[in-house]
Amino acid sequence: MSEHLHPGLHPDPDSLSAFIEGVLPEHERLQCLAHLAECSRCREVVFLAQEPPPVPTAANPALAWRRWFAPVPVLAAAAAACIAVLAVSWYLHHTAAAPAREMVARVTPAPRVPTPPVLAPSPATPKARRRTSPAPDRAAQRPVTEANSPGASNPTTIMPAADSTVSVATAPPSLPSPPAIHVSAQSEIIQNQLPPALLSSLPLPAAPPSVNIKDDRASADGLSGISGTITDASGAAVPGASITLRQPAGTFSRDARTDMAGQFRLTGLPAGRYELQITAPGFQRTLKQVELRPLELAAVRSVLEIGSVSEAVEVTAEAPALQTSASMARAEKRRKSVSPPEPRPLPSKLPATITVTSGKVMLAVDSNGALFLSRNAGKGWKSVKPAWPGKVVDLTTLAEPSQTPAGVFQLTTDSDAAWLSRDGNRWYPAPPRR
Amino acid sequence: MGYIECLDAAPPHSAELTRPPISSESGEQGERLNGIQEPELYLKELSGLEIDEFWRQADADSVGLGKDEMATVLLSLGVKYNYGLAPGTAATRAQIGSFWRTLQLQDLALAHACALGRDAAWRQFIARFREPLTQAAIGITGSATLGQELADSLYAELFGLTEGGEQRRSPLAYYSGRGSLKGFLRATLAQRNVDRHRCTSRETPMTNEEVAAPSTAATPTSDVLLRLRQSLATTLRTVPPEERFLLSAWFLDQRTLLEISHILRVHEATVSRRLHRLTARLHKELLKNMQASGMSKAAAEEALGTDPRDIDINLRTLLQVSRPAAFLPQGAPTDPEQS
Repeated sequence: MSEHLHPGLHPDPDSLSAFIEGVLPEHERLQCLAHLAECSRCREVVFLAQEPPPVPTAANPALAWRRWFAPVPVLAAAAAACIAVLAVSWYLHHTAAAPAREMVARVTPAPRVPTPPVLAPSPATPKARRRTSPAPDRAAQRPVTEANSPGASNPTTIMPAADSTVSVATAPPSLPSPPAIHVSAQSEIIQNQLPPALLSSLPLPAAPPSVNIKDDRASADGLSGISGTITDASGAAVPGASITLRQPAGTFSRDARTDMAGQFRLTGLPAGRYELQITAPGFQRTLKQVELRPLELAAVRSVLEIGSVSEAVEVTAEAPALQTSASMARAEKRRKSVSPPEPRPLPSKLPATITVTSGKVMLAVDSNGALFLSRNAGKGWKSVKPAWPGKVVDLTTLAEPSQTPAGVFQLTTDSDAAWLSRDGNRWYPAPPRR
Repeated sequence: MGYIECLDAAPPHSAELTRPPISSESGEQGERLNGIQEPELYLKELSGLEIDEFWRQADADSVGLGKDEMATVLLSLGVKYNYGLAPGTAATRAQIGSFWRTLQLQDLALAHACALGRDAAWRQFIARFREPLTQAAIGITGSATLGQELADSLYAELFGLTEGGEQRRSPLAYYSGRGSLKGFLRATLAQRNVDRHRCTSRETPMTNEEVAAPSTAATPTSDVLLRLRQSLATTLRTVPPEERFLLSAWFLDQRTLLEISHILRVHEATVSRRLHRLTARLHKELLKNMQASGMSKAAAEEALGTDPRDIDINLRTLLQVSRPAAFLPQGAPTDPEQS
């Protein structure tokens, strides 16, 4: 074959094909490489004898445009999930804050019902119709007394549990069938505002104390009980509020604290008249008087006011409202931002018996009859050097312009002498009355 | 056709069988057969190996290749390539069996049956390879006409046409079965095409190429050029074969990274990295060699920065100056073109 150049000097096609396919032993491969590095003819043969690379097939146009829209379902699902989460959180936020005041205003007295031993209803169905055994000795509605703390101005409705919002479909006198008790719970009001789908997805609150009395000693021992929920003005639960229940005679006292849901419960209480005190940091102290009858479980719903003494307490036998628990941190932050600073204690370390304020000037008389002055609303106190003999027993402001100029303080000593001052620091004997 | 007859009919392998460089360690005994001189005894000794199994695996019966012929082919291949071992290494029975198992037995039986002129084999060969062979020829030549012509000429050659009354052997007889038969045919086609092109390229008229104007820069002296040439030759001699192939394919043949990566069976990024490192290393070694020859560093760097058009150094010659006398693997028979 004359056309073949360099006969015998080149690897045969068998070796070249084995080299191309990578099946040559290493020593033969190196020998072949060494030859290929120096022989352009065999390099050309090797490059020509390679299998052509597979031709990439044209992309399917349908798949091409589908590839553009491939992320759409994923993005759509993600967007839908985000919208759903935002909607739920927005709805929860608004439903938790809005009905707080409404709950206070909707307390309406109901006719007195014979109080039977209450059976525990299902917590998940607060509107459930409950049938209890009748209590024939309870026929008349008893008035409920209420007493707010000193200075309280808002009206408060306190009703025993079985009397307030429990409407009783009493059977005719001839029929001794047990009365059917319809619990028109506040929770129903709230839950009706929610869509059914959302309602089913929401976690229901823990069993409310007012309805979870199946194992309560109140029903077993003939004792009573009281439970309730403490919320702030925005409807957020107030956890850690101190509840003190004592009899006015001072013979019986019980303490409790609200849990994270703002709920408390006191059971095993003998029937009688009680004074309920609710205190929480940053809130006004609230005093109530509750009358418990035997075998009753009173439900208290109290809205603590910030910086004021107004309050609203509701005593019902209904299931508490749906608690959309607000975060404690948020409630604390709100309280800190709204509540005014409390006056600092007096330098004498004695409790202030009388406090009078005119503008930023504040005067206080301690239990020892000493007078103290503060020009910064109680942040700092300064003792007033008495120009009068004896102790201060009364301190007032004379705001009537017809008598004295506005902002004039008047104190009265134990010797019934009156002294006047404009700034609270310099005092002058009051002119004798005509 | 028996063993010996077949050996006689296969002249490329008959000479090597008189000195088999193999050993046969039969398991625990480790008995060696290097001292065997007679082919008959040698084949008889190896008959205990799995020749029958290989014959069945190759489906040699369907192409008209007998068991003895298959055994002869396997033995001759083993001797030719020393069972895949380095030259001078004695093969054990396990290595012999392993070498035979790695062969493309079906392709091997078909190729050698075709070389022996068996009709059944040729029918099967045409059914399997006619179309791929034509397509490969068209792909190699880049032309349907030339490709068809190349494929037809190779067919005639493979069939073993007589030329001048002599019986010409088929190139299929040189197929070893290490690679695929299709790859062997492609390599044969490429070789024939390159050789034909090189023969006819002398008739191609010269194109009027513009000659570059001589540079006006100062040309280095002959002494500097001599040192540069010597340093370059010294440096290139130390380059391993694979890297020399890389340099030749990249700089001389202007092959792409993808083409080189297919040959070297690495990623083209690896080829790029190797080229970058290789050129940097060559530059350093070149500088070192030139400094070792008595040049200062500044002079060496200046000499390396010389315009290549001013340097009378043929890199192709330097890279390919150490051409071996012949590419003859151990015991390799001569190419059919030699005869």
